[in-house]
Amino acid sequence: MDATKPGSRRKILGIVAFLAVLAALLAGSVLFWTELKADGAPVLKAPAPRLIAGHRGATRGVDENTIPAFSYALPYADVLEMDVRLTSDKKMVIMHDATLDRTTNCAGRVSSRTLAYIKACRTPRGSHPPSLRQFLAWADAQTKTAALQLELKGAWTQDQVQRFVNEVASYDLEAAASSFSTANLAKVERANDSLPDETAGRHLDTVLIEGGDPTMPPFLICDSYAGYANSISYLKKTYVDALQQVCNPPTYAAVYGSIDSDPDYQTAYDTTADMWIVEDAKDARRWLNSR
Amino acid sequence: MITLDMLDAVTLRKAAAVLESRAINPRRLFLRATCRALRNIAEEVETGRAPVKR
Repeated sequence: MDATKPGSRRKILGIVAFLAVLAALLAGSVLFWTELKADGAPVLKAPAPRLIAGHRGATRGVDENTIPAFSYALPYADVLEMDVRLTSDKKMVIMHDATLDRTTNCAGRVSSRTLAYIKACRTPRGSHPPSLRQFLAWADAQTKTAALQLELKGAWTQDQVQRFVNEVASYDLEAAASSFSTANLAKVERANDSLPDETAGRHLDTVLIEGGDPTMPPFLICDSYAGYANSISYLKKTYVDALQQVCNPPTYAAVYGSIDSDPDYQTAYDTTADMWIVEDAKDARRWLNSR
Repeated sequence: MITLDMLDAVTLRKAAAVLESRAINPRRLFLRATCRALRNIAEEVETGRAPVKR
């Protein structure tokens, strides 16, 4: 690394600032996010509620990423999380894996099958993988609403991301796009700028997902993303504190990773993350309500 | 440290309203979901249905 380059100097300064902030947080500061005002004067700051998100709808006792899974989670979830992939005819389907083998009675890569073919496949309990369009129509028709976190899987072109953003924004649903790919998320941001007039303002916020030690200081996260998700094994309270305190406004933090037992819920609670992406929203809600 | 179980229903609803007005954090992710959650907790406080340490 050449420290004489502006980019390198910025990186070093960033790391130094990050370490200083962590030290301050370790000194015992406490998180608050909402400043309540009476007659314009700040009177109280309150902590955020923990939001529960159904991972792929639900993955215990139901078939993940199917309408029954989302129906199961909806009464208990604040957010529904799901995965979106492109089919061979460049349509959008709700499917986590790159292949059909694990979750359906079909085989082969999602990207090498048409949407019609995939929709005819059966999951173990007799459901069918829904298209994005089917899912959005279902979500829009429900009386109980939940926000949506849609994870872009695989590589997408700008045109494909634009179609995705336009389709989601055609409904008045609260939605965010998440991805492990910073390239995908950059395309979402560009697509937000090109939304049709009738859907302007319904932009998709972006959530960066990582699955290991955080790769950048929090202030770089909040410069670019509205939210950040990491595995419960890697997202520590100090980092969440930094996201919520260094970032102005605070950046949203989420944990995931087979969160499905009381010890897991306690660990998630202790991270102070804003949202838990859980396998069974009903069970997580039970734990939260019984605290 | 203030936790949600220390707040009464009126304060919780006020928090939701302030948030929803976007006066505090216009870029808050899942703002509507967060406000719904706060109002749900307020309802639980009023009806005594649940402890609310969230």
